Amino acid sequence: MPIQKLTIFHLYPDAMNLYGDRGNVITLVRRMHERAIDVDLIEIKRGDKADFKYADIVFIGGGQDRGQRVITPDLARRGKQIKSEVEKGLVCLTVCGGFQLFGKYFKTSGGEILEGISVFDACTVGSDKRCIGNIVIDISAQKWRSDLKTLIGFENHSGLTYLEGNTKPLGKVLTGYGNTGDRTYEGAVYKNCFGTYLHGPVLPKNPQFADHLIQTAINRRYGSWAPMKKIDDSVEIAAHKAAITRAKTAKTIHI
Amino acid sequence: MNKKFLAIFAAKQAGFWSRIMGRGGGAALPGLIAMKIYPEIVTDLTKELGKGVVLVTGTNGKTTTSKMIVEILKANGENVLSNSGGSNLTRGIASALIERSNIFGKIKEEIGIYEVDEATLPKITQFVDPKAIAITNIFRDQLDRYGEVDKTADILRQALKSSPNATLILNADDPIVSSLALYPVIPDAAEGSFKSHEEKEIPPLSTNIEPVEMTKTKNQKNVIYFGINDEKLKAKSDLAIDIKDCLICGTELVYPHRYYGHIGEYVCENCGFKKPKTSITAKNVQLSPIRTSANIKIGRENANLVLPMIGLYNLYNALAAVTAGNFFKIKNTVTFKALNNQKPAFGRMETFAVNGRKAVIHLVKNPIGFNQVLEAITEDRKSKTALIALNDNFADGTDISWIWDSEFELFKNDFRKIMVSGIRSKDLRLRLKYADVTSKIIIEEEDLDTALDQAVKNTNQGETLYILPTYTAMLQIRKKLVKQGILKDYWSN
Repeated sequence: MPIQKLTIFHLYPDAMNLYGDRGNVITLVRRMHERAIDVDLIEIKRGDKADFKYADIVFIGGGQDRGQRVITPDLARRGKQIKSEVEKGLVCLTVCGGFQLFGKYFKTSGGEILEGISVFDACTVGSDKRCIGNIVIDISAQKWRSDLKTLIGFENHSGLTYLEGNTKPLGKVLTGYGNTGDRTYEGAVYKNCFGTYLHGPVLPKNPQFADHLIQTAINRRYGSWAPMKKIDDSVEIAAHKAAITRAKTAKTIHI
Repeated sequence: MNKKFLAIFAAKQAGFWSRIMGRGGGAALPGLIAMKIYPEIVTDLTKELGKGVVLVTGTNGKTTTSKMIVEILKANGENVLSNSGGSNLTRGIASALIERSNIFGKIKEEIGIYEVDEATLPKITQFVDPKAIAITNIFRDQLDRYGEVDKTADILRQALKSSPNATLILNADDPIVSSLALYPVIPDAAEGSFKSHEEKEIPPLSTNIEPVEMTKTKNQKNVIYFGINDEKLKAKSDLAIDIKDCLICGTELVYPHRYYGHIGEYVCENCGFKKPKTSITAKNVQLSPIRTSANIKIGRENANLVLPMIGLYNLYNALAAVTAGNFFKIKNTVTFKALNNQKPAFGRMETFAVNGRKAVIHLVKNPIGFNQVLEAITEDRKSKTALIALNDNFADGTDISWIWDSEFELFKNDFRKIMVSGIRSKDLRLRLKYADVTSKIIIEEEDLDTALDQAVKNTNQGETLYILPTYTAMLQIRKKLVKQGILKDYWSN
């Protein structure tokens, strides 16, 4: 079997690094290494050259308002290429602030408009309330994998994200607030581009979702490939289950 | 007058009964009751403190710094009132005042050292007009409560505006903190007219009891900066850095020397914002597993500090305290003697013996604090074990994602055994797995009491057990140790 290699682009690890989001990258890399997949992890900061043709998985995390503001012009310059690669199946995981900027725009509660790159047909409007707390969503309807039913994480956002057109929600809220704070839907999916407010970070405690991203990227790069070998996920699954239980008992705050 | 009397009376009753019922020392309840009856209670009782009040805030080090300042003042024979170790919300300060007040609202103490939660600072400054405000640092902490670091800075800036008479005691090495002195400048930053606010040389001082030179900011505010100047120090972890951009113009800051997190010597090559000149400066820093020493320059004076605490973060706390001592015109000899004799604050490096094993508790609550504590204890090269306890109650912060910004990777080979416990023990277990800590050395036990017993059992004679709990986990662990007669009840101290 030829050696497989995937390239991860981690966008703005300096400005968008608020909620332990590097844990997502750690998880992807570790899970690839366990399958003997070579990983090229490339951190892309403002002004860096990057050709998204070479990317297999793009990750962008959450940031403060200031972080979002400073990356907006740089992201805009890359928008067209990212969009065209997403059309061709590029796998992206966008979290919190990154998710918002992959939509059309983010109008802050102060009225400022941050232009997004419109990968998602979605707009985000700042509100004066924050949705904070543990969140569990049901994504079984996606039918990606038989063992991928729920995602667990922590949400903390004042922006409310409304989806339109071909952009569909990632899951249904079981516990928590979700995109629009009304406990209905959470996240976004367009082709292989995923958006979510779940941090915690999201991938370590949802290992099957991490594997779905990796498998999709492998299939795209190397054609249909046999499913990756299973690895011991007992620690991950125990944490996933405990977090679901905790989400039911811990209070969430809406301030 | 009547209402005030009633408020104090009711609050004192509540404190008394709360203690009788064994519900702790009544750090919050009496104040809460008094404020309901008489909202001006804090304002009124604070006026009793004739020599004024100092507020101490910041993300890490509030409790330790307040305690140090109190010790320095006491060593100088001052009569000090403080809420340190109790609640650092308005109610906690009210409780501390009521506890020391007689029923008519008279207080013997003359100086108040109030430890204040960052978000509470604007409320407190509505009630009191402090002589000085000391700010240790601003890091990401309990993001579920404050939202973001920028928001914390905004909250503090707003509070400083409403305290026109306060001298600011600021950490020069933290760009977020040092920029607070510039609050009238920041909103106009877009015009690009900013010049460094600190340009004049600080003249040497003639005696050691005169206060060091203050910096006047554009808005005529008095500021005393403290900081470290030591090129040998180098940050180990690149994680959890909250600010890389100049707060004035947005350009990326250049760090000729970074000590940890965003703390160090920094400069903005675009607008000139930089680490301000310090009046109280630590040099030749020596870190060891049991103490931290440094040469401290105070104006023209030089003195050696041997702090019986570990880690650079405690050196910063001591520098803030030295600055406060200087502000009160206390002789350096008194200040340094008090600091050299420091005992740790509640849950901060409390050291004790359990079953013949040495154990040390270090409260951890955010990634920078965690990384700093890990860095400091791994100066201890001897064989050691750890009990890490992660709770996610409100007082701990309900969002535990920060453990992924703690760099366990750097310390994975430093412990012979690591026990993980607390409500989120499984998250810690997972974090250690992804830090490549071998599963052979990890024991997971959610129940804290059991975990503590196991941790002691798994620590060999001659080894040290480091206990690293979040806030409510620390309370529970201490409670157990108090019951066993190993630690003293904090309230009886």
